[in-house]
Amino acid sequence: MGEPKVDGPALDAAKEDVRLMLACRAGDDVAFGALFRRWSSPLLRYLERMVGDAAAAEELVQETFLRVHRARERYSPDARFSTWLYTIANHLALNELRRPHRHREHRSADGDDADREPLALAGDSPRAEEAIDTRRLGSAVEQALSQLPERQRAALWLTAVEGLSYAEAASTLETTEKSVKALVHRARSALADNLHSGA
Amino acid sequence: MTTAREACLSFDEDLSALRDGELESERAAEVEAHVEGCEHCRARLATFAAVDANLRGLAAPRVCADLESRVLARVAGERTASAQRTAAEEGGGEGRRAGRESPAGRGRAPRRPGRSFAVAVALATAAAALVVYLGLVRSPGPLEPEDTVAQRPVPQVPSSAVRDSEGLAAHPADLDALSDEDLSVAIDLETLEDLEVITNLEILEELGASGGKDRG
Ligand SMILES: [Zn+2]
Repeated sequence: MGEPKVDGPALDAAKEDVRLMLACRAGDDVAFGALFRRWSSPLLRYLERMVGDAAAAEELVQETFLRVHRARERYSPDARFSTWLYTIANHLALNELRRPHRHREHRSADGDDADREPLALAGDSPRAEEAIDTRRLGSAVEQALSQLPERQRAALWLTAVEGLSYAEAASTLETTEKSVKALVHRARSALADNLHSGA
Repeated sequence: MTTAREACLSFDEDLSALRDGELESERAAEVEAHVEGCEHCRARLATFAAVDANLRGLAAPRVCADLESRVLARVAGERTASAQRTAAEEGGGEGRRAGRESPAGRGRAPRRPGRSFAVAVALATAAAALVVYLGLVRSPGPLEPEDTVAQRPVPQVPSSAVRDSEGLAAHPADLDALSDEDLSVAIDLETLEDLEVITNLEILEELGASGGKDRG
């Protein structure tokens, strides 16, 4: 355990992130913009899964990058940029989920709204409808994912989709590799059961 | 789907780790050998692969075109604000600097602990206070104890203080390892930043009020 899953193109990409972040640290806002363009989409995708609300996720993307910029002078390239980024994002997501007055978008287990999209986009414009339709493909797994406890969801997403190693995910989630291993497995098993139950 | 044999249970979690390339080579060989001869575990691995493929196949949301410009504008705004703050601080420190540059003048302290040190101490205090505050007030700790995590779609507010103490007790080591500034990332960013601003103001006021007279 513990070897970062970084090779070939991923390694080049990681190096480029470091280069950009060091430039940003030195005051280069163009480099900051480049980092934003490289990472905003995967980050938005992750945050949407975490908070289940497109508008809130977008807001958190902004906040995450503001934090990155504020902390730029303290960046040191001993971890992948993405690990650092997801750590910040994860804190923000958990804070968001802990807000007491938060309206939860994630479906409750009672199932009476089984056809509602868990990640309904804000508003009901035609564009939003369209976007929802393109998601139908993966909607069974998407629904099951949204029902997982947040740390299981985070662990599986970070490792299986974003390609973090268990060690990196552990650092992001502030836990041990052993816990990440268990979280990932529990999440994956739950989704596997869901797949098999023919959902 | 074939049924799991007794032995399969002891391999189940490692099937995930094997898939993720996270097993030590010795254990990986062991698991692979089992999978080789076990239809159930082969099927399970295939399902795991399908799950991951499904997740990766979920459409990525399109990032709204003006999001970047909004972020860049906010960054620029913060830069301006911070430059103004710095200017104000330097303005406030003028007298002291003059004192240092001409040691004969007015007998002001030529050396004093760096202001950044004072800020760090104040921040550390604020952070410690915040930790205590969070311990007392916040109910769900940032960590869910993994072993109690069942299928729980909506996190429930824990009814006992046990969760609380667990959540925070798990942290002090982590917190110690972080610099005060990192705490602003590690704990509750907004709250701490507010504290930071307040702390800075207090220090400025203090410096202004004492005017360094107690240091000469
Ligand atoms: Zn088996």
